[in-house]
Amino acid sequence: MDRVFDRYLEGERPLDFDTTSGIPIEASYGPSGPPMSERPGAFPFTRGIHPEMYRKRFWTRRQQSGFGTPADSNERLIYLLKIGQTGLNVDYDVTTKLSLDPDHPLAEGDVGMQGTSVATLEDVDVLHRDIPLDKVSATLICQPPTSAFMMAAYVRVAQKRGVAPDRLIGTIMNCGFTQLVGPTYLPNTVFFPIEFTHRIGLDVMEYCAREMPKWNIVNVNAYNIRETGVNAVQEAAFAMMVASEHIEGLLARGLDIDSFAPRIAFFTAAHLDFFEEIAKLRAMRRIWAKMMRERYGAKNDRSCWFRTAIQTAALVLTAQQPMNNIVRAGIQTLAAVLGGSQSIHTTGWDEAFALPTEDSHKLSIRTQQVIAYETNVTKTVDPLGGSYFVEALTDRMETEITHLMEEMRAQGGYLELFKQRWIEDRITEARFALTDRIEAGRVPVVGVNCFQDEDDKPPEMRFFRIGRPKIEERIAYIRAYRAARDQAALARALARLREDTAMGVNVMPAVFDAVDAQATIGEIGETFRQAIGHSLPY
Amino acid sequence: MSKILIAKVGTDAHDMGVTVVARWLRAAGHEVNFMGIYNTPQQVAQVARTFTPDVIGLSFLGAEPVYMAGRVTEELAHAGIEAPLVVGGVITPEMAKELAELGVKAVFTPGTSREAIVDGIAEVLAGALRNAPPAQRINPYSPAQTS
Repeated sequence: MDRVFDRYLEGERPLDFDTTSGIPIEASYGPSGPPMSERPGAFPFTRGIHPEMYRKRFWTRRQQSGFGTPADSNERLIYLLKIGQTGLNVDYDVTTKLSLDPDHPLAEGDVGMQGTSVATLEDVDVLHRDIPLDKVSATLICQPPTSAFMMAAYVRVAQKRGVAPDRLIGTIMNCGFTQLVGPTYLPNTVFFPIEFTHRIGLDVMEYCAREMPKWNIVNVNAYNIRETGVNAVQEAAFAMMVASEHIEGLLARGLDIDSFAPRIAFFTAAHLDFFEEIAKLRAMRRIWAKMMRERYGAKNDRSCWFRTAIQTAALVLTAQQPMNNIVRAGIQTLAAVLGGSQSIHTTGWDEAFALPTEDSHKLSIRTQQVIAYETNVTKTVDPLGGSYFVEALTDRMETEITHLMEEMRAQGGYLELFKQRWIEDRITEARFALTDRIEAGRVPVVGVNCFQDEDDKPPEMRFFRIGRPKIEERIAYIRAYRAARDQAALARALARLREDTAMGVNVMPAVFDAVDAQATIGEIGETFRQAIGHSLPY
Repeated sequence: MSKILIAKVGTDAHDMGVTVVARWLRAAGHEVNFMGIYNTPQQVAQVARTFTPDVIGLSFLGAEPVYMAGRVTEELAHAGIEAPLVVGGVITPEMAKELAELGVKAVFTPGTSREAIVDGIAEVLAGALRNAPPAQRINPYSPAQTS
């Protein structure tokens, strides 16, 4: 107890004077160099891509959801819209994302667990039942080549309901480098070679850029990059370099930069280093604008807008004293708002245990609504603009990020560095360093390495759990589905897909044919693999 | 010191925790065979047959861990392997209880310290070593000792 009584006189202080990415922080900041004279909505958009931002329109409340069967997930989508979500964020299970059918042996414990199990055109129809696709914006969380199936199926479902592709609003994440769990080596090479994934991603982007003017063709998933343990500078630099791969791939296909760049967007993390995260976003806006204009010759201002969705980082949330996570996520959400995000997913307090319950999903949405409606931070754009500290930190972040990007460009760019496992090495380095620092108490985590509870009892709370019966339901479904089709039409469509894939043409027309012939996601995936001679060890 | 086999089974690829734990256990002096991700229960049993681990660790996020731990237990029994199982990852208290009922010797959830994991595995190893392998039991029909 003496220790407790000594606390006041001893006093507590920060453990160091750096940001989490190691940038030193001064005791105070004053004017240095010319004052910030940019206005929001003007190149290079450091202060925001629009002059009025949230005064005209709040960020979209876009919580991810998805579990079990398409019908289960549809229920949750409708619930979220009812309680105040303003955009959909559709997450599929890993089985779907890997283009495997629900009865694949590797998936026996995973179907419907981290997202919705989707394998057929019918599934996509059920998942989006009772939702007007030309009114509600939907983000579809999958990467190539699954994104080819998903985009085709979504378009077909919309067409069946009388909505043409050019009226669809939303995003297909479609990044061949950053989906699943980010840029670790194996997930991006075991199921399909990364060059193939990249190519199909470009096929989908080309299709969308041509046919769907209101649709975002790719989201570079900087969030996943960051969740591997790398710091804010690496998150931003890797993301910009991934974007460069996509841009250069489309330019190489003869597309004009302004014909697709306005439809590229990002998905970034909001961590707990409050000012660093805000400075990161401001720096990324400036870097993107300059890169698009100077490096890629974009003439349209819209091509220079860095647009991002944000998720509050799950990595900093804890299983110990989980209610603390409500506070963390609230602070992170505020950082995302002050940083000028276009949409936000506020991670649930129960993230360290399970997918969100309806209640924790609701609390996430309420967190955003409280900030939007009760704090008045939305009533002026970039309120931190002109702050000596924030401007200095923004400039410093820009320097650090640009420096790392130049280092990566000099070594061949993102894809080359990925293939050399340079990216993997950076991730491994970062993970070991971060966990060492947490263990040494140099990164304080309340409830974990400081201010722990005396008794180590697990929380007595209700957590979400899906269970095995849903998996069995999906296995039964897909087997019955496969049996009840025109097998000849299916075989012809898959043959065409195999041919087009092997010939190197854009696969989207053949994927549409396959979807129309009721091919499953696994059959399309397997056809891709056959066409390129890639096999799985199962 | 001891042989530890670590694997992720199923389609989940969240491997930050398990990669760090494998490193900690190696640093503690154990011989660690880390099978990485995307393994099936059969593949784990296969590797265990030749590696003959003293303990097997699984890591989960998002799967139905009780079901998968059950499948791994099944495949190990099928292959005649007796090593105890420990589990780590995103696991609710309810699942941890069910895993214990399944015979899993320890469950390590997020935020568990390095010390707790290294000591926890050492305890499991000590418990298991009290049950000598079948070939070395003097009376094979006497009841196995429990910790």
